[in-house]
Amino acid sequence: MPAQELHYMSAWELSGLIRDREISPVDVVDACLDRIEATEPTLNSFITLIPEQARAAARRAEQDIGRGNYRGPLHGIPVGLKDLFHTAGVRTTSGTRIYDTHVPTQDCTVATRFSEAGAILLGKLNMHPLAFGPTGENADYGHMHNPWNPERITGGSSGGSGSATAAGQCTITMGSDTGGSVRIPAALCGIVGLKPTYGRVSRAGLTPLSWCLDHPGPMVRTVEDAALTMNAIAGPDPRDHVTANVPVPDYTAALTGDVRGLRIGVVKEYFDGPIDSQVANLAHRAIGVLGELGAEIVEVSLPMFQYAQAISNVILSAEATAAHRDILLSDGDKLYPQVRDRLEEGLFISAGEYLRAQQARQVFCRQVADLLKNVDLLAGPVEPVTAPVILERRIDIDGESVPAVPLLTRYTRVYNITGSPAISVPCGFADDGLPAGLHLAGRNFDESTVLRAAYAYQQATDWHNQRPPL
Amino acid sequence: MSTESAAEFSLDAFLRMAAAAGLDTSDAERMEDLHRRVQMMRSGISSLYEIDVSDAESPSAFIAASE
Repeated sequence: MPAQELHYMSAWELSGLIRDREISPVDVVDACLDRIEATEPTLNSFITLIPEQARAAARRAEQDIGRGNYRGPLHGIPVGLKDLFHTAGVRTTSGTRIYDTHVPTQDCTVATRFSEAGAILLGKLNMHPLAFGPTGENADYGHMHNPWNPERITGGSSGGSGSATAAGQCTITMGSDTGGSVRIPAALCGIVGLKPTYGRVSRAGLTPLSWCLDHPGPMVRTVEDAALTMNAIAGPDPRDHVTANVPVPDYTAALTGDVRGLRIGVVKEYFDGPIDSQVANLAHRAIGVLGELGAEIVEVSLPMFQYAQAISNVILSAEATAAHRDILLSDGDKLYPQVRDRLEEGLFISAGEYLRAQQARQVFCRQVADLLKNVDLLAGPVEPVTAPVILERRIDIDGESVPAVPLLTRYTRVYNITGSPAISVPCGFADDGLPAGLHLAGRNFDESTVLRAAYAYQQATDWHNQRPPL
Repeated sequence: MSTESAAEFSLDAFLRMAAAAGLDTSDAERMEDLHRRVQMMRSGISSLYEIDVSDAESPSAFIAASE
């Protein structure tokens, strides 16, 4: 039996032990369920838990593996899905009581692929209602709490995925990222979050927020587990017309630890502020580590960055309101007030303005693509601050009071606009004891280079091995 | 509503649009707050008209069926 606690072991570590029958999926699932029982009163990561189904699936996995039917690295691995991934027979609320009794009859494609890989679903994870917010607030099912300090937000909208992964409640979780909702909680909870290229992972069976900005992605404790998860879930899907017919590599092959020959562009506008000086220093230091490992670090400029919020706001608001207009009008008073406010605002965006934002998006994408002709990756911080206090609407940065929502999505929205693969990898802690994330983004469908650099950084540091005091 | 620029509009015009959109406009305080937020949003929209989009076609979600 390994010395490390099972609930904190990575899928990468567990998979060999499960394959060789040194540990049973039953033990791994029980360890996570015990961890959930111990920490859930503090964290509130889950909306729905299915322990008996999970234990039954673990026993089946144990029997299958015992008979020589090992399916691969995710066989017997405990996973959690953000509660907008539809799961057959398991309720899917999308984070609002309006859908409290909604039980889908069909799995989303991601759930199907996890199931085919032998992963074991523990439950459905708490989230910002309808995924429309970056903080991880939820009045219906209770706010999510950061494992590093429960008075602080997890970030959102995939907040339950962030806390569950950071606290060892699940080995792998999934989030969805429309303006940063995988990477924000990953950074604020001190885990790895990968937003793949738009079209790389199927959106079929996910409650939409913005059809052209939604990206499902893994939230895990190590870069290796991000690669393993991508191997299981990436690729074309006839149920999602935007999935691309682009070959899917073995992502684990990119985990060489070698970044020599890579050119990494540091976007100077990301550091122009407002940004907490400690967080900025952590990002600079992390980029410096990549330089010490042999990557060439160059400064680059993205003048269109100043328009990222406007482009994203218009597209996101218009599409979210279109997606949820019916419940806004029929059950608006039951929605979380901030979500209702944002959906109502979307009613006042004209078709012409929406199309103008889409045109501006093309110009924005060209500028980022031009940068990525000269560098392999773009780097910066994921967040300009560490996790704020729950329900704090404005954040003080060096004496300047800044609204929380646009601040938290300041850097992340860039790569929803471009559709580029982007990762948050833990890069240290500020004096408040809260983690920060290094942001690396690459060319479309080149998740491998993103993972390669993130893995090299991870191997050179120890941040991914730090555990919250729970 | 203009499609050429993000012009502001009066509370009266806003209330007519809100009612046409299906919102319950009976709560005056709530509508005034929404009007204020929409005006803020529209000031952000106006920045999009600073960008030269003359050679940028808006992508279409429409894909013609092949059969």
